[in-house]
Amino acid sequence: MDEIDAAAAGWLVVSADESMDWSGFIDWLDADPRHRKAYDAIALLDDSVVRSRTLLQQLLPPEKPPGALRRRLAWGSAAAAGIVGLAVAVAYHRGNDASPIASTYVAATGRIGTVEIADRARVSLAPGSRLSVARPGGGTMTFEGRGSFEILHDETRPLMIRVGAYEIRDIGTRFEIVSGDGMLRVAVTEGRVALRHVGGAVELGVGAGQMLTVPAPGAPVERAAIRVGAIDGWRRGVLVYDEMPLGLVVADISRYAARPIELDPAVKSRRFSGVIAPGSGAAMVAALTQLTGLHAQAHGNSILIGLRPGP
Amino acid sequence: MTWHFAPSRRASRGACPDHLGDAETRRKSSRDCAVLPDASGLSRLYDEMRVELLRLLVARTGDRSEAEDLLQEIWVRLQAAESGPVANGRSYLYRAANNLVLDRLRATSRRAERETAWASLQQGPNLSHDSADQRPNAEETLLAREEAAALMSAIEALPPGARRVFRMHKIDALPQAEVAAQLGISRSAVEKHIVVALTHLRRALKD
Repeated sequence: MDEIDAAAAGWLVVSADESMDWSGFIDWLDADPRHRKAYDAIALLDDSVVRSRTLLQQLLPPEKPPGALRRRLAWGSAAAAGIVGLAVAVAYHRGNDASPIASTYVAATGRIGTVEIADRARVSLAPGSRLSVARPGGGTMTFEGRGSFEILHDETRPLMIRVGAYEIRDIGTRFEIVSGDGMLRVAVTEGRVALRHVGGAVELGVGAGQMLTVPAPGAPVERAAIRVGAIDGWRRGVLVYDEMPLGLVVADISRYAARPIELDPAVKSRRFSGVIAPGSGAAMVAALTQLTGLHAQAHGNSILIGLRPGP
Repeated sequence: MTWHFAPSRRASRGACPDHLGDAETRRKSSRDCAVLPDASGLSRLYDEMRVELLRLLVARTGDRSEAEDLLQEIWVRLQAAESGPVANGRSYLYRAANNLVLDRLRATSRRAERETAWASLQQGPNLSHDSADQRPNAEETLLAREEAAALMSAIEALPPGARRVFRMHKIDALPQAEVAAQLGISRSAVEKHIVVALTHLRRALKD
């Protein structure tokens, strides 16, 4: 009977709470032999869902995002990708039949580029960032750098973004990625994405208002709340960092400056919070060293940042 | 709740007293019984709660001797488990007992599935191996996939609000508090959605 099943489910759900009334549960079980059977069945069902988690994550299509996002992303269905504001050539990789099988977009120094992918996504690329699209219309993309993603959700064509050794699966979203040097931060402002290591079995979901950070290659992923103002500042002309691993900060600045900037490995995972105005490499590094107490040294065309030399 | 055990060592039933009595009795027990000096608070709590735990086990299993068997199993596992601070001992022991019943149910239902699958293939003696073989064989993998496929279609048919919460909590493994925060609803609303989801799934998957 549905009521007995519902009661059994109720007991199961509350059994994990510290406030569970075990004595009441025992009385309920004793009250009718059907209660015990119903609870057994619900407990087994719940258990089988949990044990099938990995398979279910693969099989289930992404959830639709809340209605607002879908309405806002109603672009016309362009047959090909549109490029706005990219000053650098697009590289086509051609297949045997000479039709493009992949396109790579790179935003030029000092310019933010926007890529629109027919009816699927709009991506804003920070200077120096790179997006490869394997097929017109989406599928798997490869990304490196900093970018802001608006994905129009499509259950029949889930979107995967490969970032270094990680994969981000779209569940209908607006989010930002910062990557560099094997590290990664994904911050979601609307909807949800799922992050996993390529070939890994575990997927971490991250929803609106949250971010995941990989602070060193292969390191455990950290979850934190997004602080207001820390996302999208770069689109308005300031780089705002909130507890960002220095490795990511330096990779970011290096892209902006289009100049190699290297960081002493000893401080790569140190966290930095602060604001840096985009400018020349030297100016941005000066701001960073001032705020962190680190030391910079020019080395030909590149800059090395490290600990202050001893007295 | 996770409860990590050392590989389960069955108490030597002949040598152990039927009921673990007071401290005096335990000290006098023979050495080949898996009864160890009481050091941890959980063991003390177990002693205090034995009657209640047995009541729960009888209520769940409907079988007094199986319940007593399980009660003893809890004792054995408590001795074998690594000690460490446990926040709410009473809750912990109740949930441990509840989970142990689930372990038994799961083993029984798997054996039943395996026997059915095998029996449908041939008329001869049932040669299904016992549950000591832990490696998933091809048959188990196939069963797992079929199980997941059946769950998948039932989950997709859930009402949207309940489905969203159920997926976030049960499949994406977000804690209930986090699901509540992300969706802007209360924790009790999250619990209600999960109850609705489980009830629908049960109805859909009843044989």
